[in-house]
Amino acid sequence: MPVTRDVELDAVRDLLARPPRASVTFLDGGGVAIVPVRARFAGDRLAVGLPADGPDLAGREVVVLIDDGPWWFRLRGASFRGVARREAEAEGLVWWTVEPRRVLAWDYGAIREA
Amino acid sequence: MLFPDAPVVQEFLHDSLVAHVASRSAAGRPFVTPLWFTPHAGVLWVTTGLGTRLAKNVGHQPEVTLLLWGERRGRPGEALRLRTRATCHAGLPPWPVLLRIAARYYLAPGALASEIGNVTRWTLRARYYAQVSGGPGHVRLVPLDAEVVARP
Repeated sequence: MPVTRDVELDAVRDLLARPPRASVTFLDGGGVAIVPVRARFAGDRLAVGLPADGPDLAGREVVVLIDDGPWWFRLRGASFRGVARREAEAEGLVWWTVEPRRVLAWDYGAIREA
Repeated sequence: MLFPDAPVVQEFLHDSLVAHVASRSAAGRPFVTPLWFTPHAGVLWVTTGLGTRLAKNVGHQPEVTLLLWGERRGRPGEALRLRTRATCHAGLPPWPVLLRIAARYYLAPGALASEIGNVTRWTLRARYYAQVSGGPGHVRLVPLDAEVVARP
């Protein structure tokens, strides 16, 4: 029987409220770019904040990664793949909403037979 | 832009335990995964399966970018973006690297307590690793340059 560490997104909801590490990855020119972000959730709606002089994510496919924990059984997180759309400027940041097309969540402390 | 041997880069490598590892797929799509990494002999070593997305991506596009968080020291306002050139190899890393991985992630204070507290799950973990796509492998990341970036 296979073993999994995948969980439902609700199992890491506390992490999403205050993510210790949050980044957005996207393609830039011929390469890949990654920048730290501030992430926030309103219900299931994900938004990431970047400085006003940060990259223009409009219409780009992005992957937002949120995670925590250095030790094996404390590794938890979630990733969201979608297209970014500019929302607003607030708190000195430009906020981009990401409509997730694919969501993955994991908690190694919850490892179990699938 | 900072050279890999710059003191601040070395500090981040020492103080960081999880990297966000960003790569590009053959189809031209972004990919990122959080991974342990271990510095040794001027190279960052990451264990992964040969069939994983990262391993496949490295085969097509060796330029991989890492974001390091300095979580051991606590650097709430900044992160380090590290550009690397990656190669993927079959099998586990050499013994000196494996020993460093053990010391860094399994025997360090905090890590050992977590390991002992989860001793009943070690078998599940071994089975989880046995499932790894493509069999065991590792990625070697050679740092090219870096920059300190603000965390919003």
